[in-house]
Amino acid sequence: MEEDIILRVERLHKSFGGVVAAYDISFDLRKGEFLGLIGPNGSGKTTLVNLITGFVRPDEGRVLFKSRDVTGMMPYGIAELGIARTFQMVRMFYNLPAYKNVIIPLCSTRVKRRRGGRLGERDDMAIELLDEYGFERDSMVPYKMANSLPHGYLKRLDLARAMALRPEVLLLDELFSGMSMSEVAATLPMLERLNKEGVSIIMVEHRLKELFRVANRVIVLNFGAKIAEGLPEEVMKTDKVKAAYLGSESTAEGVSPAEAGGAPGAGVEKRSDERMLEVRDLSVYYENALAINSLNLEVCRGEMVAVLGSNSGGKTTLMNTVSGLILDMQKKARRRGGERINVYGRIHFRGRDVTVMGPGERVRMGLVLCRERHPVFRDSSVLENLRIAGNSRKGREVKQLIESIFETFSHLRRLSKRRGGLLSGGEQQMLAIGMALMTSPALLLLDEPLLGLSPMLQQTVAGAMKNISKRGMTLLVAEQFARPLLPVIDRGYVIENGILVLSGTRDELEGDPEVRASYLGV
Amino acid sequence: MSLLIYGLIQSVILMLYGYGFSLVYGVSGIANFAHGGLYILGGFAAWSFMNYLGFPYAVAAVLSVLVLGLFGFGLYWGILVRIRGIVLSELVVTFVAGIAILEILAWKGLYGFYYNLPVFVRGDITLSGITVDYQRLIVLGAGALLALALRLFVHHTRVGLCFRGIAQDERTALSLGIESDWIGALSMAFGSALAALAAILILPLGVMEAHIGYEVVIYAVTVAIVGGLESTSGMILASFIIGFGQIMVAKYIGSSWMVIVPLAAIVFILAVRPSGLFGKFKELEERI
Amino acid sequence: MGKTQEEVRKERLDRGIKVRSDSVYAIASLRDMAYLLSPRIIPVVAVFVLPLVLGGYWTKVMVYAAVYGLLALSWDFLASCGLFSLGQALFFGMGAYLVGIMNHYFGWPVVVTLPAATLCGGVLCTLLLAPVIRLRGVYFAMVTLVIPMLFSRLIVATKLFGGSHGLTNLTPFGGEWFSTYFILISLFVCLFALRRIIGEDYGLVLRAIRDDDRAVMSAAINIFWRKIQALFLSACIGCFAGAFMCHHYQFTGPSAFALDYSLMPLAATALGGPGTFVGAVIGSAILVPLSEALRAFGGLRIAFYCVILIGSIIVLPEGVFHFIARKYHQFERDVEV
Repeated sequence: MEEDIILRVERLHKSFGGVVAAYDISFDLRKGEFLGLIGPNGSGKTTLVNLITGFVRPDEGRVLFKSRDVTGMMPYGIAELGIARTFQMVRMFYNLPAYKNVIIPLCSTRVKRRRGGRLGERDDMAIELLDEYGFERDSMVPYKMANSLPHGYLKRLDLARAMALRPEVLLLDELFSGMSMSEVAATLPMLERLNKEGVSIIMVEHRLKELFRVANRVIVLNFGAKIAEGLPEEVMKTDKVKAAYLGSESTAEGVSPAEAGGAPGAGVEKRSDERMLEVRDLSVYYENALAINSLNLEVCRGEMVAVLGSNSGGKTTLMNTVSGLILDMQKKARRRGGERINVYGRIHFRGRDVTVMGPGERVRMGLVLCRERHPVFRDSSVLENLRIAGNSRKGREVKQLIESIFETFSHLRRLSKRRGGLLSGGEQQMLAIGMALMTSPALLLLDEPLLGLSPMLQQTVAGAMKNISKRGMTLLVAEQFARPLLPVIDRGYVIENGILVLSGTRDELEGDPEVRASYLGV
Repeated sequence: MSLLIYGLIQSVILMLYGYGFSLVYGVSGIANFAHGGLYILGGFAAWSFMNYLGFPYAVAAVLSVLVLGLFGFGLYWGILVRIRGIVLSELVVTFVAGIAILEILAWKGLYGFYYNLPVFVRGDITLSGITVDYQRLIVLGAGALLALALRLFVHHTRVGLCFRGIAQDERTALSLGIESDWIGALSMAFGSALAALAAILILPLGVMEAHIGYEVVIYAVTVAIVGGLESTSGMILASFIIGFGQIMVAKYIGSSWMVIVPLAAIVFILAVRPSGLFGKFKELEERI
Repeated sequence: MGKTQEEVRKERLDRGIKVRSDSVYAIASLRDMAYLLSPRIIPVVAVFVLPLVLGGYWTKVMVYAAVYGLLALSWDFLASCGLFSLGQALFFGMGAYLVGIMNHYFGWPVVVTLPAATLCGGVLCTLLLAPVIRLRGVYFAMVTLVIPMLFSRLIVATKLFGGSHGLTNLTPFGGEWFSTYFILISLFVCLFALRRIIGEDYGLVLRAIRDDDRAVMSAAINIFWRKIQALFLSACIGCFAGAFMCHHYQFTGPSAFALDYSLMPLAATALGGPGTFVGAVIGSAILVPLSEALRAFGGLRIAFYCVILIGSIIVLPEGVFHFIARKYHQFERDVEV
């Protein structure tokens, strides 16, 4: 291997059942490089990081670190050799002071070999280390309990934890997610300094503007495969990348915008003033990270409303909160002693206050969520999946519902005996939507239904959603792909970092250059 | 030939021991160490209904299955629901509840040769020169029927489908309206009812003593370990391997050595394939 | 509001004397020093004085409590790194039988058998349980539950190692007094050693493995090797307890694998407070004499401490030790929200 290549990824391939998470990925990382790894949600970025750091074993391919084959090594072995990482979902030991969190990597043999450190000395080493990452040595901050730290500090703590190993390669998984502008501004210089000191960095990020300030090269993933590589400005101009982020053009084969959308108000009379869903002053905290900030939103009966925005903007949190799933997450986190989830504000559905109502009850009232990343029951056949979803309906009704779903998604009919886990990503997504439909919802929530779908399927699904809407169902869709969706919706909201930045009718949004800009980072 | 018949019977007995435990774990993720206690409690309930309340056997049997179902439901709803998700507490509570039940029953006198449940049909039949009593054949038949019935139940009834859903992906099931606490309690009810049913079938083969409950737990846990916790088919396969193994050891080495088979099976499977025959060794992926 | 809040909530504040004595200046004040040292010194002194005061019967009970205390400490240590065992009886029985075999068949003296059984037992148990460490926590509980039960049934059925009669006429362990103080000292040595280990960085890593092993793995630490080390230490302590009992009673039998030896440490630790080690000892100190006092009830007393156990998990999950410590260090008052 050439002298200056520190990490080489060769033809990595990984699938989970029928879903391909990584497809023939190869690239090199040179010493001292700052490589950005970007792509829409579900494109396989985190899987790639997991493959490199040993948390997932690839089906095929190799990972070479300084000419040494580390494929399939245990994560601690890889970390021992000098590759460190941070995590998308920060998990700290919240009941310990900040500096104690950093002591753990200092106990590894890697650190002991290089820097020694006996009992008692590690405390000082930890404090010294944290000083470089914004935890002033002489203040109380390093001694504060991790659960009282603001989110930006927690992220930097994660960074310090990784750097405690003095790695040669650092992988950052969405370090900036949830950070405010000022926190990002404070963290960027730290990364620049590390890079100058010789640490090669791969950074997975959605906040492209900030990433492009420090990255000298960028790799774009979509559907688990590498679709572009090169300088940031050049890469973002290519059509493939634009399509990956915005979704396909509406003129692709399948459904034309005229068929899909039609003029507003055309067809069955459906718009009414009755507010089906009202969200007032919603704020959601994950420990100290503000995921949603004073959000106001409403959906009227018969409407199809979209919530758009780039990733980690709060869309999934919004969906989980409206559907009630967040209450279950809250309960489990409390029992486990994990990060506390706090919900403030009010949600009204069909006139009733459902803020503290559990997800089961909301489903019975007709408020149903189809979660992101095509959730299906992997060991059950397609038919059984639909029957599980329809468990609260009577026998004949179930048959009718299944029949109507097979009509909407004719592709699924052929697959009725296939096990859920063996379906492709797109097929699983169609099944997931079908399962949500089995509950005969009044308001259907869809969390990123177009994720992982080929352009043609995106059109089909968008068209199917429009048909469902025309038949009288109310839809609220959270989606990153504006392009296939804009023609078919009635109204839309745009969320950035948990805050509502734009709202308007379809025409208003389609004409707005800001919408386009916030996606491409240019 | 006798090997075949007795091997089958022993395997089915082990399978019946294992069903309740396996079901509860598969659906609610709780390892129900009280399974043995529930088993004996079921037998005791049937005995009490017959001897204290004078019910006919069939009625007492059905009643005890129902009563145990209710008991299991109550155990979940009253205690387990408060500690769901805390692995240590779940283990301790079921473990301790099982012991408490068995020790209370033992204290009440459930040992020695005094208590037993009658067989369904007296007498025996001779097949190819081997005499097998009817009760054992009934166990065999009932076991096979139960396996079939459970499979149909889980895949074709509403509650069964909910079980499938929660077992595979709790959060998705939640988003479809399936209440996980309710289903968890139901699974516990079913597990307890299955324990009672197994007791009624198997206890007539011998004497009803409290400490048999410990045997039941040992075997239920062993077949789960060897077969793989999530897999019912693994559990069944393990029952057959261990069942036939035990009968062969009894025939060729001596019946006092039968107990070495489960021990050897566990040691072997841990060395060779720790997550069980059909177990899914997810390890790292679970941690991401 | 999405969150219900009470108008008034209880607030816990540290007592003045705790705050004052938290720093090194405590040495300046006798009162502060007494506050810090008395909860530590008084019980230790009391324990060492008690055998002189109580009669022979209750001293025997103390020995029993110390042995169970060791088992409870061993359990607590395993639980601190996420290994939940339902089979301390495995360690106990292994230690007891190893001693029995070495003494009965080979005639080795106590000085040799005790350490040999402790270490060999530790190694054997670790080898046996090592494959389960990589699996989910439930598996560890299941395997540790079932293996000792199978061992005891195997011994009874096959009449190996004396069968149900066990091994008798083993060498005694010095005199009464020697035995008693030996085990008490061992208990305290273990207690302080384990508390020290857990308090240091090594223990921090173990506890971190329990809470989030992913984070520890990516910190370049081999979590399985650490767990095996913890298992070995724990097994040694458990085997030591079994080995001691065997010589103390000059007898061992399949009852060494009894469920009682798995249940009691569990109950004692849950009652006293898991994770604290002192709780494990306090719990044993409460439950063992209680169990003796309730001897008349036979098997029912087991049911009784099962109920206590379930009750303490639900009502007082923090355990007796934390409860007392909290009362000692803090007071509560109502605060307007």
